[in-house]
Parts: sequence; structure tokens; C-alpha cells
Amino acid sequence: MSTLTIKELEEQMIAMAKQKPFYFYDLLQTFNSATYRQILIVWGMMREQIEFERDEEGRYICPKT
Amino acid sequence: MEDFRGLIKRLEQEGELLRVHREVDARYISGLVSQSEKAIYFERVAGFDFPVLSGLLNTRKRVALAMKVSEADIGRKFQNACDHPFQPVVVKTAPVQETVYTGDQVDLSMLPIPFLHEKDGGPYISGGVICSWDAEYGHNAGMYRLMYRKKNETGIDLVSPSDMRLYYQRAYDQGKSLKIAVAIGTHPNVMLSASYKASIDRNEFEIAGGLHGEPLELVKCITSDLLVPANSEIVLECEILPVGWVYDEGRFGEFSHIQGDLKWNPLVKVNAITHRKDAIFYALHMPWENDWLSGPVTEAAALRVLREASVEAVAVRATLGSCCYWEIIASIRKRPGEGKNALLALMSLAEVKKVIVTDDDINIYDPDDLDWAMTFRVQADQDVIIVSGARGKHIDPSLKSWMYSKDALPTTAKLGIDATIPEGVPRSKYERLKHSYKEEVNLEDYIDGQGGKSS
Repeated sequence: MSTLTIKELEEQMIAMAKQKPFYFYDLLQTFNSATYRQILIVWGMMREQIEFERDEEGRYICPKT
Repeated sequence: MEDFRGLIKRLEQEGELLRVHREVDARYISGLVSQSEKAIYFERVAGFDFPVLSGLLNTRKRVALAMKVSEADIGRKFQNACDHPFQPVVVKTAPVQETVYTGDQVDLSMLPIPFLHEKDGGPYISGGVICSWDAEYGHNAGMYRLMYRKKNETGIDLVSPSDMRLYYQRAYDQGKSLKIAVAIGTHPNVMLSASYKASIDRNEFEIAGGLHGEPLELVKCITSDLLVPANSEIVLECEILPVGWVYDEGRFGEFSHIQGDLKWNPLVKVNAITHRKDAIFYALHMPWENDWLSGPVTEAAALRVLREASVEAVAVRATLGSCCYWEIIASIRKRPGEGKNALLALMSLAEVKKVIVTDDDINIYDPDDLDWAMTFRVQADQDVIIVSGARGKHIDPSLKSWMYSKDALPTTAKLGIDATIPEGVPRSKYERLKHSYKEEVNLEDYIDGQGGKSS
């Protein structure tokens, strides 16, 4: 069970998303200590804020701006 | 009428269900089910109030169990249901509306929507029967995947031609959304009927009634006039927004066992979630469950065209290696010329690209027996038919569909093999050898102390 709050998890997932293109699977693996439900909640929150782009492989890309 | 949870109970009685008592993280569900020969009921899913059932239809045996028919007869049962449907009935109250969330209460993250494949674009609701309605064509039910995006928003794959795509296109052209309702945790008879590409003016739920042998009960949604199976476990009441095919959806591990490409699709807004008080979430395990939902439908189509061609079918089999979709093997009671007639009929089926026809003495479920027929009853220069330029399906990589323009449909070649006894060869030439005294002696009587009876 993650000790991170939803807000902290959100900040860390967004920071990771800004680093490089990623699959959803990468989020699950990187934040393995977060519960699956927490990831679902934060993923939904991230999509509210960020219009992700996708590359040819289907990875999510966080726009630079 | 047996419902989803009634079937779960029966599968357990038949030894086809594994109960997992230990708490599981939903991210592991797909990986665990892929290792199991049985359907799995996850009683406790960390962070969620819903148990999860997955792998329900991973085998032909379980499809047959669900349909209450022998494994050989899944196609015949489905065809019989098409021929003898029951009109659904509408009830006023339903278990699936025991708990209702609307407006701001809607939060898809309450559901243990699993992540299925490494390169999927997100968690997917894979086992939903989607109901829709059009003023001209009436009710429609189909199975479509939904990709979780936000607490009240999903993607949907509406790229391939389908009745619901047409309904959406008609709504989109008028600048309107299309109301849909997603029933999760329905009996396989409902999923089978929804998987079937019935004519556009036909209500698929009457076929589900035919499979059950009694009318399916439907209930009106809370936020729309759509009708959904009353005994579903969970229903999402939604609308496909009139935005067109502009939002990323996928990738997704497809029924072809291949990781599909990224697609561009519309968005779905979820307006209400209703469920039974003790609802079970159903995670359709790709690709096997999707494949086996095609099995009875493909086999029924094969029986239908053979009947039209006046060929007596003994058995038909849609093969799992072809995703129960692209290959048909049939045994027939042949009269002269009917091996070829059967091939021509079966090769006319829209998606089928490989057909083998053989005689009624061949067990088409035994690959060795089938190989034997193809070895000794086939002359390749006379018994193999290849048809070029037939309609293909994008998902088949051998068609190189990425080389076509966006709106072009790829074409495919079709292969037919007539493995029936050739005309002019007497059946006696295929007399099978019989081991002498096989019926009179028992090996166990001769294995003293090794499990056999001692004299």
C-alpha cells in the first residue's frame, strides 16, 4: 500500500510523464507501491489537466507547453 | 432464467471455476487468468468493493456449458436460436438498478477495470454489451471495448463498420450524441447474441431469448429510454459525444492475438452507473473469450450456407488458431461433387479465408485424423481452390493494409481444400486397419503390480 497521498502521487506521475514518452504500463510499474485504484484515480485527474499526444508506438507524450 | 451469477455457480459445480480468496491487485488479474485453465473468481480485489470474474469463456467446453449443449453443437444451438427467437419482455424493476449513481456521483474508478496487455492504452472494459437505439432501425446490441480515460469518460472503438457505428454516424451528422448503455456481467447467451452481426432491423435480444428458451427480461435505463438486460451485474448509462473520430484510443490486444494499432475514435460520457447491491465485475479475458464468442456464431453461419447449398453437414468447427473467425473445417455426408460445393459455400462467408472440407468418417476435432484425410484424400492440383481479391479485414497483417489509403478496404485470397474422398476412388480403399483382438484383450491384465490386475 502506497504511503503517498493522491496529491503526491499525482505530482510524481505528472513529473514522470513529462520526462519521456510512456505507456500506461510504465506508470503501473514505476508506481508499483501505489494501489491500482489510486493509479486509476490519478490517471483520470491527469487527463483532466493534460491533453496527451501519442507517438507511433502508442506511447503517451506530454506536450512541452 | 439463468443469469451471470447463476452460471458462475454452475461452473463451480462442474469444476470449471477457481475461487481466489486471497486479496489481489487488479493490475495482476489479466496475468493470473492467462495462467489458468479454469475461470477465476477473485473474491477480494484490493481497493474495490466488487469481486471480479474473468476467463469465463476461455474454452469451447465452457461455451458449451454456458449454452447447455454439447461442444459439437454450439453452432447448431445458435442457429436454432436465430430460427426460433423469443421477443424480450420489459420489466419495471430490476436487480441491476438496486444501486444508482448519477451526475457527480459517477466515478468509474470505483470499478476494478483491469489493465489487460502491456502495450494497451489504458485499463479496458472488455466485456460490455452495448445497447443503442435509432429512430429508423430500432434497438441494437453489440460488444465494444471501452478504454478508461477519466472518472466519467471512456474511449470506444467505433472504427470498423457496424450497426452502432451507423447509428452514431447518423446522430453525429445531426450534431447529436448517441445514447448507449453498457451492460457488464451478462449471461453468455446475451453476449453471443450481441456478438452476432444480425440484420440491422433485428433485435439481438430476441436471439438471446432463443438461446435461453424464454424471453429475456429488459429494464428501462434511469437516464434514457434504452432497454438493458435486467439481470446484468452493472450498467453504465452513457452517450457517445458528437465529436467524431478524433480522440486517441488503444492500443489494445485484439481478438486476433495481435497488439492492435493506435486508433482515432469518439468519446463516451458516462451519465449513470447502476448495479446490483453485491455486483460482480466481469473482465472478459482477451483474446480467448472474444474468440469463443465468435465460435458458435461462425459455426452457425457455416451450417446455414451448407444448408443453402443442399450439402448435408455432419460437423463444423471454427478453429481457435483462426480466432474462431477465419477458418472453418467441416465434415459432410458427401454426394458426388459436393466437396467442391461445400468449399464454395463456406468460402463465401465474409471473413473466412481458409476452409477444409472432409468426409463424415473423419473426426474434425482430431488434428491427426484431419492431417490423414488431407494427406490421402487430396491431390493438390485438383482439390485446392484459391480465390484472389475477396474482401479482407484490416487486422490481418498479411494484407499489408497500412499500404492502402485510409478509406480503402484491403482484399484477401481465400484457400479451400477438398479433403473428401475423390470421385472415382471407392470408399473401400480407405478401410482403416484394425488391431487384432483389440476388443478382447486388456493391457492392464498383463501389467502385474503396475496398476494392472494380478492373476
